[in-house]
Amino acid sequence: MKSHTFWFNLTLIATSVALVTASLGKSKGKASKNPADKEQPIPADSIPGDLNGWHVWTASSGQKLEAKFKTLENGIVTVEEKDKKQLRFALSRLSEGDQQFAKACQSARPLAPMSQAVIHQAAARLDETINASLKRNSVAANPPTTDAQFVRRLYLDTIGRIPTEQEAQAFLTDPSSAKRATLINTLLNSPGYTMNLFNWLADMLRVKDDYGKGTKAFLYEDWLKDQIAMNVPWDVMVREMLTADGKLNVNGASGFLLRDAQMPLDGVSNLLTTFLGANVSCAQCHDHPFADWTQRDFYSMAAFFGATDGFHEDVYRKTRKLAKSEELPRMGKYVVNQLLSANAYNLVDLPTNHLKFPADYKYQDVKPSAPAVPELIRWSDTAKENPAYKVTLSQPSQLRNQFAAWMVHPENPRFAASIANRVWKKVFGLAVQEPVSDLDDPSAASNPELLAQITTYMKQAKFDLREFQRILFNTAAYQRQASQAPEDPKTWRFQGPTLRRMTAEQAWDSIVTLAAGDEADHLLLCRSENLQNTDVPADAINLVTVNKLMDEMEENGISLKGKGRKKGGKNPKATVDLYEGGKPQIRSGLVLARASELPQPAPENHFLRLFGQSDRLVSDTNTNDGSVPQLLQLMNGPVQEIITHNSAVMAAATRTKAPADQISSLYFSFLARPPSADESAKALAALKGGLGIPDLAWVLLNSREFLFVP
Amino acid sequence: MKSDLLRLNELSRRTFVERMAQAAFGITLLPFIPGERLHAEEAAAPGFGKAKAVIMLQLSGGLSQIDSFDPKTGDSKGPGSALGTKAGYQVSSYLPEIASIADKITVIRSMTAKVGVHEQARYLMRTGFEKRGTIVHPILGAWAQHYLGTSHPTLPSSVCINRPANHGNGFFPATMSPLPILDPAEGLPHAIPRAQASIMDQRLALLHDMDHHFSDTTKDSGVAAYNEFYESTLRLMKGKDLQCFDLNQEPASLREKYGNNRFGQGCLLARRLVEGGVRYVEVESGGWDMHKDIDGGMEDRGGEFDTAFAALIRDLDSRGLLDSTMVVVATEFGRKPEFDGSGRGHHPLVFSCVVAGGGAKRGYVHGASDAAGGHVERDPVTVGDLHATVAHACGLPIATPVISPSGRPFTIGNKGKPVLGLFA
Repeated sequence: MKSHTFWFNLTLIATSVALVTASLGKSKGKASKNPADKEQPIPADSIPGDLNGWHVWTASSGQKLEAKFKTLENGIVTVEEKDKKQLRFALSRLSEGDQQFAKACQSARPLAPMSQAVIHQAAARLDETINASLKRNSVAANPPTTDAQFVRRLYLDTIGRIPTEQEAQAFLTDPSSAKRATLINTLLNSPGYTMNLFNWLADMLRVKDDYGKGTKAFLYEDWLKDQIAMNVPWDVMVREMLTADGKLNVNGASGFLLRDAQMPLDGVSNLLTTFLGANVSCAQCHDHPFADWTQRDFYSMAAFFGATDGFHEDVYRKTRKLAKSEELPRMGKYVVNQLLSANAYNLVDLPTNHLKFPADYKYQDVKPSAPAVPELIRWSDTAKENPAYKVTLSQPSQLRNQFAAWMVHPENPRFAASIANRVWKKVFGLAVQEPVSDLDDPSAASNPELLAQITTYMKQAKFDLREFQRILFNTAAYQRQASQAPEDPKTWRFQGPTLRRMTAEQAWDSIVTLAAGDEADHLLLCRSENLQNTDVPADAINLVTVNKLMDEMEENGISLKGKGRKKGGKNPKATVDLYEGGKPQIRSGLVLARASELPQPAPENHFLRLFGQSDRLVSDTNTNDGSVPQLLQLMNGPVQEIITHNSAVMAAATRTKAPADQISSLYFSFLARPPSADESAKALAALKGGLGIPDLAWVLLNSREFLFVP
Repeated sequence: MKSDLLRLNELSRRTFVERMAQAAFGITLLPFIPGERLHAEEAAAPGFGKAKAVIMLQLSGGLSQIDSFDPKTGDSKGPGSALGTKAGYQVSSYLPEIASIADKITVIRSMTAKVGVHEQARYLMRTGFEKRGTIVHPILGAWAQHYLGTSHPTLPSSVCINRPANHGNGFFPATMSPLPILDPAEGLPHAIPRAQASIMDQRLALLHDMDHHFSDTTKDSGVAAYNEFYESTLRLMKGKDLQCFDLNQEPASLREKYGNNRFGQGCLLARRLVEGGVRYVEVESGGWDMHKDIDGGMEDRGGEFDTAFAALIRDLDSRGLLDSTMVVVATEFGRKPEFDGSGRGHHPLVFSCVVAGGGAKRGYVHGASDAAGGHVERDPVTVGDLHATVAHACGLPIATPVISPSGRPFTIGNKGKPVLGLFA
């Protein structure tokens, strides 16, 4: 595991120090006091000054940078520069001394909210619930996974790619009886974890590079990655997204609401669906046909955003006009479109709430075009006593903050359940209640008791998604073999996870790993640098500013050449300089970086899109379906070319001379298992019959066993 | 028995995959109608089964009815003027080529819907159903494949051009999803093996030999569907039908007539595919959300559409294919009659669509909007009705429900009624 080994050991020691036998809250659905609260040995404010102050960091390449340590999570160091700008880089890219320094800083920080012992107890409780349900429904549990099945699936589910031959071998030959729990901890603390979780969030939150006409949301993307890298709890992160102020090119967190700045009502509908599982898309235009949502409910909720302005058409018009100006220098149009237009995206709260009911509102309870009054939805009569509902609505400019406080409150009836249910689906392939976007009918859960239980654990983990996943991966249920998903999700008893095809991102990241080893885990795309320089007041959107910006960019060595719309995104060479931690390889026109470190979403003819990456227009639309172009890509496209020629996997296989060993190496690389005697014999016969090792690699790449995860 | 066959439970889905496999191999090409015989009156109604293929042109973003097929005077008038046609009705001056083929098509001026949000409206127009969080509905091509079987032994039954497939199979098996062609000029990418034919054959033999153990032991329908895709992909790679995807086979003069842009070339590719035996082809054109600068938009996008659609109709007609191919111009919704001097907002209450060929009347206008172009005046046609109409032309049993895997009954066009008046 390269230079990370030391640090992982350190983390494990730190975790085991915190081992404690604490009982979990017994009553279900009720928040229990977090027993691990007492476990925090060093409060944040007692970090020694020298660990907390300015430090000159040295990269292994010799480059220097003065900044404050923020976090070291998953092998990624986050620091803050004097201008408050945050930077992330892989730990392995630092000098040996600074790696130690970063580890020391991190070990002085508070520990995760749940200890290992609590994690195991929680996992055991979940298994009890699942086993009871299996028994009740006379469903047999699936057989336990073999180590080979487990290692491959766990790598995919935690860090989003298959293990390398070495990684698979290391696990399979490890004699330790606790090796599964150890591997879970190791992987959840690896850089790939950030990448994998980002892909999942990007599908859920419709993360997109381009907000229209060249306006870029890079700062938001980097902000999201920062949050994951620093393991910021979900409630904190969501609250930040809902309360952020400012421009798209200044405050990354504003990118969430600005995604729907031009259609704010759709934005409200999206956030209610995503964060609360409230299926309100119908109620936007009429009373929901079968759920309880009325159009009035929807407008009462949307009114919390009625004093918020996001898209400023006057500023936008100015940039468009300037972009059409004939006096612009060459490439000036690019600067205006790609950089200045972001100034039109700016979250500000006005003193008055200007949301009105529609002019064609057809129900009797409110007059058409009447002002919409903010009111929180109540799912039960007990809402009045619920602390989440203690909000004040007097100041319109504070409405968003009040809404956010209600939404992420642990006692909000939906927030914890919704994210717990979503993460469960990510791990098990199927949510406890499907679809994750609609929790309006509680009787639709396949196991309501299980849903209540994971909701409790989500709160107990203080919305730490990594800790929550740590519980799920440690269940016996997860560690069983996968089987076919049922037609009706309500009938699934979690006898194991469902059998899934790799997601588009997992398939791509696995292919990148086969081609280039784990190198890509350490290459981070950074495109938000200098974006803040393009923050310009509306009256300064003019020719002078464009010239000044272009001069600045030239001084800073930022090339504008080849970044025009036609060449830009599609010219891979123009993008390799944007990576922190090294330059990715370009093979057959493809940048060998992880899916999270490529354009969002990938261009529509990219491998990722062919394999079902969402176009990011609608939430949760990644698909796992097959198609003819997918298979043409695997059989004849650039990907098979990359893997069968000069790839990491070919290099590993041809390191040995004996054909049987070469075959075995390929099996470990692709499938994390040795070949059976029969498979080995067939492959040997094929080699004698005229095929080569590259042909065998082609065969394994095209096998169903490669794409599907048992 | 009837409901057993209709119910897409695990067993019948598997039977289904087997049936698909047989059909795709060309062993049996039995058209099948699940359940009982069609109602006699349905089959006897005008236009039933006339269309052997459908080309669905999707104008994404909302075509302004007033600035295209339903020009108005007075306050609603846009930047363009009205053009008379020999069919007796007017179209906007942005569509001079279409004006000259007005005698070959049916314009529906009384389309109406409730959804004015892009994603939802696009979904409704593509599937005939309102978008729900709980289920994905199939496109017409998938319905047709469900009822009629595959349309060709090796070619896919449905293709979508300039757009991803986006789960077009809906609740039907993934094998019914349309094959996406993202760039018509490029055709079907990576269709030619890089390795020598003999090596490729050996690889495939070994792949089959080594992988069937996994497929056999998992017994998973997702894995089975992938096996199917490999089979059909290989058939396609080896057959002559691959040429259907190659626009270079067309004379340069004809390619030019369709317009040298993705939509125009997509329309030409659609014609080639239909000629080759593909049943259902979608061609998408983006950029129709003209909130601003409708004049510029109609000149650019409108011009491309005008050229391509007129060329497609002429081309199909001259080849004798128009009578058996229904071409539909669909969009998300219309645009508001209020013209602010630059653009128009979303307006689902009334908008225009076009159907041509496949048994539709030539030179006909169905329904009407009011004087301002804001409401339907007579003969409203819902999106579901439009779907039912196309399905009727294809000879599909509109009234017979299919039970989805989640146990809910669905019919094509969500109980929409075919507009029989527009058939010749």
